[in-house]
Amino acid sequence: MARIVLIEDNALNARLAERILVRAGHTVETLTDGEQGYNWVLDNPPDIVLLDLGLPDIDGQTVAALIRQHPHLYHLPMVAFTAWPEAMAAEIAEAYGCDGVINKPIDARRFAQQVEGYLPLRQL
Amino acid sequence: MMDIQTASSGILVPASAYDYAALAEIYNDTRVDYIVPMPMNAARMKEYVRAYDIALDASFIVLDDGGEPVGIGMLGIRDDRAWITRLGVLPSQRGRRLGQALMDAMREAAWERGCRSIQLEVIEGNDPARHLFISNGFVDIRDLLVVRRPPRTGQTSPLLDITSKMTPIAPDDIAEILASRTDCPSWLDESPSLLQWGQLRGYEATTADGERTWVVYHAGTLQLTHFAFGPYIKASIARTLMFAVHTEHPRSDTKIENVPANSPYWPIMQSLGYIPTFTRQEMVLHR
Repeated sequence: MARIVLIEDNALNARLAERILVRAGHTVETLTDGEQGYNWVLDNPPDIVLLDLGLPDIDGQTVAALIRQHPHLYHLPMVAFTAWPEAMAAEIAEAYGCDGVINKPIDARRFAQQVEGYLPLRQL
Repeated sequence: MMDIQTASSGILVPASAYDYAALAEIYNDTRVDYIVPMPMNAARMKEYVRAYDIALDASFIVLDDGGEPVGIGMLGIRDDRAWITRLGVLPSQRGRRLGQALMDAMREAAWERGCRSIQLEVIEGNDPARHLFISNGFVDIRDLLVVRRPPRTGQTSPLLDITSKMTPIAPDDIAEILASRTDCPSWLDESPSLLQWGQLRGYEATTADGERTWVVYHAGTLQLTHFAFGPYIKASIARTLMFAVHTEHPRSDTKIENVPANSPYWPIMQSLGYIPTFTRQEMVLHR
């Protein structure tokens, strides 16, 4: 099962996502702003990062850019987790090196599978 | 604390009665379902208030009957111009004309302080807000783009101008250069905004014919933001200026808010890897 970092400032969204992923057997660390999130990922590289694009300090795109520029994190699976309009989110996520987008609000029945779809096979 | 009872059921109080953390929390709560949520923390709210000349005593929080904040509207003031920003009402409280109450209070505060106009920006697609502004007499000025450029974006083989002299602008000269501006920036990129953000850098280009232009920008730790441009001479010079900026800061993310959609610099930015995120409409109300 996977170690997942969720960088999400909205407590309701974070709680729901965390509950679903834990129930699916994963461990989840939730960080509520960009700086904390990036530092955590740097110190404890997870199997995947779910990254809200709108964060209260450093925005999600800049966090994505930091992760992608770090030599140890360059290949880390990273998925934008956002309520932005889908087309806009997809374009921005791709430009900033995300592997994909999961749109909010989430579909609770599909969410764990969506996340697992971005994991390397050995984590499943 | 000064209370202003409005015609609707909400009670308005000056935003100066709240600290930055509370203002950020109220603002974030009103934007949970926004088209592009851009939450703030206390530090960012403080920077925002300072950089954009927000008059907290002319900005307002609307309270529900139990005294809980349910909406916010902020007013920036520069000379005889005002700027409405951060306007929002909690989703559960919409439809009670609280947005109108905030608009009324900020307009009154602006006119009381001698302002002759109020400007604002509304994100494309936010039809309820746009309708509110139109019903209050605001008219469109232009479209503004919020654009991004990830670091290390390819900028291979740009058509650079090699006949012009390109030099960094000395930090002490930046205020003077900004004072020579002839463009019409949005509130966010007016010279007072840039000067209050600080950490400004710039490049100047001088052509063989002696024409001069420049770019000045805020070089934050992680992001380049708040660009101001001198007179547009030609594409190759504009491209060379921007190329110099990104060559100096290859690891910086770039976010530029409110680039006029008809700016001659926008196609140059696109050729260097900038992508549009969303569009705002700038609107104005004259007294």
